[in-house]
Amino acid sequence: MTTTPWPGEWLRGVLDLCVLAVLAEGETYGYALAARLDELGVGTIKGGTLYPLLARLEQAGHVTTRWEPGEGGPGRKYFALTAAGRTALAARADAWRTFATLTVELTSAADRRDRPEEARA
Amino acid sequence: MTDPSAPTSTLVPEHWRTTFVLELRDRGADGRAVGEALAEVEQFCADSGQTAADAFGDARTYAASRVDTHAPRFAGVGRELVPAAVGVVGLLLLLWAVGADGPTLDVTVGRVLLPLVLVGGAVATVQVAVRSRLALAGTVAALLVALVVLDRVATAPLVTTTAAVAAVVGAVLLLAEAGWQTWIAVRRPEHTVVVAPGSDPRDERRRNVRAGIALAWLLPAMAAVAAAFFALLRALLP
Repeated sequence: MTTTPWPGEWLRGVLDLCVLAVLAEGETYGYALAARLDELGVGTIKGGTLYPLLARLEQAGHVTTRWEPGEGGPGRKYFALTAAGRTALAARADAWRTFATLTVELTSAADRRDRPEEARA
Repeated sequence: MTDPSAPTSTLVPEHWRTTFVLELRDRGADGRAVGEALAEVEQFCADSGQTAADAFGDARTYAASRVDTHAPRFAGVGRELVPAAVGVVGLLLLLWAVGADGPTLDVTVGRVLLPLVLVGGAVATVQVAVRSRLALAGTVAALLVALVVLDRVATAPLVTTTAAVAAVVGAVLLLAEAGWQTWIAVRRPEHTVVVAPGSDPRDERRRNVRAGIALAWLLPAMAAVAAAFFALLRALLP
């Protein structure tokens, strides 16, 4: 569980990918998904952020949903990854790894320029 | 604030819920979509113990993000407001006829504008009702002032007819509007009633048809009650 919240602009770029990755672990429901993301270090994701994102993923065909009747209370909506969602996850994850590697190399190069003595040590 | 033992009504306050539902409706969400979005909020709050405001923020802002914003705002308003305006005209003609001092009835400029003001005012009142009490009071006050002005100031007659003709025309318009709305409710019921996800589709259709028919006959019922009341007043008072 993270103690320092990540910058919002970082999360906005990667949250859907993280959600797809958690759904790849298995079918789950809204709060459990948010709790899992927090457990993995993504941070606290509010329902107001999560459900519109899940609705967009469902519209794109990457996620399917079903309702489980509740016992005297509201039912529970379960989300599961579709085959198209798994394909999208694989493609986006691959692209993200390439982007992350590029970012690490860029920042490392800048670090070496700023601190050449440490780089040689 | 996290309190898993708090009842859903505490976690999702009535004001937040009403604002959310009205905003979803404004954005074209039908009863089924509203029911689903509401159930998501209730379930998340029940699981997390957070209040709706903490978990989902401002109700209107969340509703805007939850519903496809490509749906035109006030979609279908024309389809709904035109029959409603016809019904209101019928209601007013009937009431003016019952309340007429003599055999003739002047249809004044004010009386022609009255249905538009009433229907527009009703829409505006619903819009502001959940935003602020001050705005609601202001809207109702402005509406009342407009009604008085139309009745007292805009008195130039456009058409003069008999009370009997006005009563018949009014009754015909009321019954025609109610009949049309009933036919629509039975043949193409709208998903008006907010239903929980997973509801029986047949039960959902039955409830929507019943709601549509009840709404269709609301104005004629009001007209009958109001006309009887006015007639009684005229009989009792000198």
